[in-house]
Amino acid sequence: MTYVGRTGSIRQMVFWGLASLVLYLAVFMNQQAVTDYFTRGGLYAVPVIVTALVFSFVHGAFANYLIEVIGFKPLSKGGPLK
Amino acid sequence: MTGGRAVWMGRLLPATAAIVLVSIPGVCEAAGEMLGEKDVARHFVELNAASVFFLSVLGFLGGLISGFIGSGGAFVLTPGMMSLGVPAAVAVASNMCHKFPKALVGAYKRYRYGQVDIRLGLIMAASATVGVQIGIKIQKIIFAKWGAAGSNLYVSLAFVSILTVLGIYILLDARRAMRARAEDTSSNLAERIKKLNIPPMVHFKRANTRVSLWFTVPVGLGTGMLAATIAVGGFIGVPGMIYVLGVPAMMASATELVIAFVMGLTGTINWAMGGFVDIRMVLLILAGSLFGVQLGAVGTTYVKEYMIKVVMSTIMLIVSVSRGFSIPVYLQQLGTLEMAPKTVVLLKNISFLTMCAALALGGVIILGSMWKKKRELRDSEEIRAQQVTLRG
Repeated sequence: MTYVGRTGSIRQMVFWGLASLVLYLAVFMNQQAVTDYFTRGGLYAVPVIVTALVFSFVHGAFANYLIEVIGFKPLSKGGPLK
Repeated sequence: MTGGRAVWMGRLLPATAAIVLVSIPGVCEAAGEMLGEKDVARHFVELNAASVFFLSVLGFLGGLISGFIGSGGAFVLTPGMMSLGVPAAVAVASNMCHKFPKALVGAYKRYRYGQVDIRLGLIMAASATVGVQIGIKIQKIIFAKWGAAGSNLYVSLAFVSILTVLGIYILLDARRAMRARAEDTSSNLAERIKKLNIPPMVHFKRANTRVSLWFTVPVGLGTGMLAATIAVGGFIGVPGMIYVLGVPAMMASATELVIAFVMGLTGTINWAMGGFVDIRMVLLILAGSLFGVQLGAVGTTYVKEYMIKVVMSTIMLIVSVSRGFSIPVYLQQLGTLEMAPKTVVLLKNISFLTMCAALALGGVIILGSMWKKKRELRDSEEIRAQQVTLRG
C-alpha cells in the first residue's frame, strides 16, 4: 500500500468507524424502545430488515477499511488485486 | 443483451423469485432442530458486557469461516445464543437475520474477486428453498412420531453420518492436491456428468462449466434438505457444486454465499413478521461477523484452492464429533438409555465446547495461512530490494 493509499484508507476507516459507532450507540442507548417496536411483528419486519442492511453497509465499510489498514489487501495470482 | 441472457432474465429469474417467495414459510423453519411449543417463546434477555463480547467474538469467527468456505459459521450461533438463556425461536430468528447481511457483504466482496457465479447461485437457491420444504416435512413426520427428542436424535445422526463421510472424503481429496503440489484436484464424477447432454443444459459462465439442470437442481434440493435438518446447507451445497457440477472450490464456496443470502433473507422476513428477531443480538453478531466475513473473503486470495477443502473438512469432522456427544442425551430423553442428570449436562457442555473449538481451529488455519503468505511476500520484497541496492 502506498503512503497516500494508506492515509486515504485511514481517513475512510475513521469516518465509517464513527458513523458505525453513532448507529450502535443510537440502538443500545434506546434498546428498550427498539426491542418493543422491532418485535411487534407484521409490517414491523420492514425496519428489522432495513436496520440490518444499513448496519451491514456502514459497519461493513468500516470493517473493509480496517482490514486494509491492518495490511490485508486481496492478492491476485500475480500480485495485489486491482 | 444477448439472446441467452434475455431468456434468462425474462423467464428463469422470475421463476426463481416465484419459487423462493412461495417457499418463504418453510425456509424460516430451517432451524436444524425441531422447535417444540415451549421453545417458541418471545422473551428477550438482558445483555451484559460478557454476552456482548461473547456474541461479537462468535460472530467474528463465524463470519471468518463463512467468508472463506461459504458457510459453516451459523451452526454454533444458535446454541451460543441459547447458552445465554435466549429462547430457541428467538435464537434461530436472530441467527437467520444476521445471516443475510453477512452473506450479502461476503458475496459482494468475492464477486469483485471474480469468484461468484450468480446464475448458479440463484438456481441453487431456488431449488434449495424447495429442498427445505421437503426436509421440514420429514422433520415434522419424525416429530409427530417420536417428539422433540426423536427429532433431535435424527438431526444428530444426520449430522454425524453425513459430515463424517463427506469430511473424510474432502480431506483425502485436499491431501491429494497437497501432495501433488497442485492448486487443486478435479472431480472425475463431474467430468462424466458434464458429458451427459440432457436438456435443458445450463452454461455457467463464471464457473466455466455447462451442466444439465437435472443435475444442478438435485444438488440444490440436497442443500435445502440439509439446511432444514442441520441448519448448515453449505456442507452439502459446496461439495455438491465441486464434485457433481465440476465448479472450482473457490467459485463454489463464493457462490454458496448467494444461496445463504437468499435463504437468510426469506427466513428473516417470516421470523421478523412473527416478531421473533432480537435486533440487538443481530447487531452485536454483525459487529464481529462483517469484519470476519471480509477477512475470510480476502483470505481466499492468499491461499491455494485446496485450503478451502482443508478448512471445510476439518470443521465438518470436528462438528460431527461434537454432535456425537449429544446422541446419548437424546437417547436418554427417549428412554432408551439411563444417565445421571449431571452426565447429561456434562455431555451437552462438551458438545457445545467442541463446536466452538471447530470454529476456533478453522479461524486459526485461515489466519495462520494468511499470515504465512503475507510474511513470504514481505520477505521476497526485501530480497528484491536488496538485489536492487546491490546492483546500484
